[in-house]
Amino acid sequence: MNTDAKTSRSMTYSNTPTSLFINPFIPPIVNSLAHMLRRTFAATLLLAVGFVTSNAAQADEAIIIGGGYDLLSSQGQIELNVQYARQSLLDKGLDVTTFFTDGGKPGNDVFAQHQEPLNSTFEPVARVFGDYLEQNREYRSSNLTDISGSTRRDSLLPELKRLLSSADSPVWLLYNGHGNQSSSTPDQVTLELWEKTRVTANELHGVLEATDQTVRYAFTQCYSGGFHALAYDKPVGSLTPASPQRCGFTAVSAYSLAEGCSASINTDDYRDYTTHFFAALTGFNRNGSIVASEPDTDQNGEVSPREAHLYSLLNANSTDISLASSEDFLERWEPWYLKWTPNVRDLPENEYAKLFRELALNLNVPLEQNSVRTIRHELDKLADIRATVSDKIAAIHAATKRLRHQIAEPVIAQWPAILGPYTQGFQALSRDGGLSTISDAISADPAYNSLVETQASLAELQIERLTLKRQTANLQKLLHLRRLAALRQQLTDFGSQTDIDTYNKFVQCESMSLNTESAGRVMAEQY
Amino acid sequence: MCSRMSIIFSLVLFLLVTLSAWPTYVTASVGVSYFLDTLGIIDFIELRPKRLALNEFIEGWKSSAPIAAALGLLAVIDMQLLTRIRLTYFFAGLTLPLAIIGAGVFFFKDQGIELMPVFAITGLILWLLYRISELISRIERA
Repeated sequence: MNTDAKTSRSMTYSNTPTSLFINPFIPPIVNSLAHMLRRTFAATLLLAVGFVTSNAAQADEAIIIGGGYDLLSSQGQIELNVQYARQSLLDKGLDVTTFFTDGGKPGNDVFAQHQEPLNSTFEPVARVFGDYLEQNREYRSSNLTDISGSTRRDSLLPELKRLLSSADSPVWLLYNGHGNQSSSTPDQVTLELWEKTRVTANELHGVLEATDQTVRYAFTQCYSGGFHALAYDKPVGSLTPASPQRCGFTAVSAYSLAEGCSASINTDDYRDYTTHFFAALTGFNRNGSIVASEPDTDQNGEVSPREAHLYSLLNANSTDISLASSEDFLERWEPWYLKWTPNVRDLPENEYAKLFRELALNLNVPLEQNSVRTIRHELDKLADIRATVSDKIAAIHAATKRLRHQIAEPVIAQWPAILGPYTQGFQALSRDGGLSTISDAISADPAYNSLVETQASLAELQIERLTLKRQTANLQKLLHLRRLAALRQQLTDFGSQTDIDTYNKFVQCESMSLNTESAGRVMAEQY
Repeated sequence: MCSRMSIIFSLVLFLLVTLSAWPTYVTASVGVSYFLDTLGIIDFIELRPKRLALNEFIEGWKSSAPIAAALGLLAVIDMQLLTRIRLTYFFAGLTLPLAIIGAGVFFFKDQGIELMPVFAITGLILWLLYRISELISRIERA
C-alpha cells in the first residue's frame, strides 16, 4: 500500500513538468513550502519575460514623411535622405513607418540628376533649344520599400492620427521634403505634400493632440522653424510647453530657405540637416567616413539628438542655421526690453559660447574683443563678392541667350519644324534623321564652342555662389551662436524659475536617447 | 490764461517724453551696440525679416508705455517745480537722465554698469527735448 501510495504520488508528480523539484521522501509541509516557492519563482519569471516582451513591443516609433509635392519637385536626394534616415532609425531599433510621395504606386515619382553628362547625339540641340541639364535627368519610380502610404494630405492626416493615437511609446516625427513660408505668423508655414496638397504647422499641431506620448520631431525643409509651434500647448503666442512634451529640431528658422533640395545623387553633395544630424547619431558620414569630431560631448557612450544637433551646428558647411526647440524657446522668451538692449561684450560661459569659440577657430576668425566687428567685416566682404558673382551670372545669362539666338537663327530658317516639338513636321524631322543633321549643323557652328564654354562657366559660377552662401551662413552661424550664448545667460539673469524650468525641460527632452527604449535597456544592463 | 497755457505745455511735454522715450532708447542702444562692438541688435535686425523687427519695435513701444508715462510725469513735475526759480532753472530736466540711469542700473544689475552709456544717452536726449520744449513754452508765454 505504502509502496503503491508512493508510486501513485510519484506518478502524479511525474505528470507535471515541475515534478523534478519535488522529493517524495520529504515531509508534506516542506513540499508545500517548496511548491509555494516554485510558484513564486515561476510567476516572477513570467513577469520578467512579460516585462521584456512588452518592452520589446514598445520600441520607440518613428514616422517619416518624405518626397516632393510633384514629380518635378521630387529630387532624388530627398529619397536618399529618407532612405538614410530610415536605415539609421531602424539600426537604432525604432519601429519606422514611412510615407513617401504617391505611396509606392506604379509610375514615376522621383527624378535624379546624373553628374556625368550622358553621351547624347542631341546634346547640341538641347543646348540651343532646350534645357541641356534635362538630358542628364532620370525619372523613375521610388526605390524605397515598405512604404505605408502616400503623403497626400487627405490620406496622410487620417493615417497620422491613427498611428499617433495608437502609439504606446515615444514617437519621432521626421519630414524630408519641401516647405513654404508664411506671410502671417510662423505657425502658418507649410509642408508641401504630394499632388500639391499642404499642411500648416498649426494643423499638424492639432493632429499631434491625438497622442498621449512624447513626440520629438526633425523638420529639414525650407522655413521649417515655424514647426517649433508644435512644442507648445497653443501654436500661437504661448510659452507653455505641450503636454505630453514635444521637442525637436529644424534645419532653419521660420524665415529662411534650407539647403538640401538638390537633385544630385552624388553623396558628397549632401549638405542638408539630415545628413549631419544622422551622421552624428551613427558616427559615420553618408560616404562611410568617420565623423569630423566627437559628437558625444558628455562622453556617456551614446550620442543624443541634442548632441547631434550641436554637432551639426559646428560641422555642417551648408546654408542651414539649424534650430532646436530649446533655442526657439530662448528666442520666444526674450522679453521686449532685452531685445533692444546691447549684449554684454564678454561672452558668458555656456555651451553656446563654447560652440562659438570652436566654430570661430574652425573658420579662422580671431577670438578677440572686436571679433564681432571682424565677422561683420567678413560678411560685408562676402556680400560684395556675391554681388559681383551675381552680376557675372547675369552677364553670362545674357551672353548665353545671345549665343543661343545666334546659333538658332539659321537652324530655324532651314528647319522651322524644330520649334514645334509636338507637330507633324517635328515628328518627320525626328523620323527622317533630321535631328541628327541639325545637331551636326549646330556643332559645326563656330559659336557653338563659345556656347558650351559659357554654359560651363554659368554652372561654375552658380557653384561659386552657393559656396559663398555657405561661407556667409557659417559666419552668420557665429553671430547666431553668440546671440544664443547671450540669451542663455539672460534667461539665468532675468528669467523666472518657471522660464528656466521650461528651458531645462526642452533640453532634457532633446537630450533623451534617440530610442528611449534601448537606452532604458542599456541602463538596466549597466546597473 | 497763464495757468491754461501751463497745463497745455505740461500735456505737450508729457506726450513728448512718453512717446519719444522708447525710440530714443532704441536709437541709443543701436548706436552704443555699434560702437561697443556687441552689435547684437544690428544682427537681429539684419538676420530676420524687416517686418519682424518692426513688429518687435512696436511691441517694445507698447510694453514700455507705463515706464515712458512715468518718465513723462516726472518731466512735468520737474518742469513745474524747477523752472520757476532762476537757481533751479539750470538744473531743470536733469532728473530725467538721473532717473533713467538709476532705474537702468538697478534693473539690469551686473549688466547695468556696462549699459550705462545707453541709459545716459537716452536720458540726455530726453533732457534736450525737455529743454527745447520748455524754451518754446517760455517764448510763447513771452
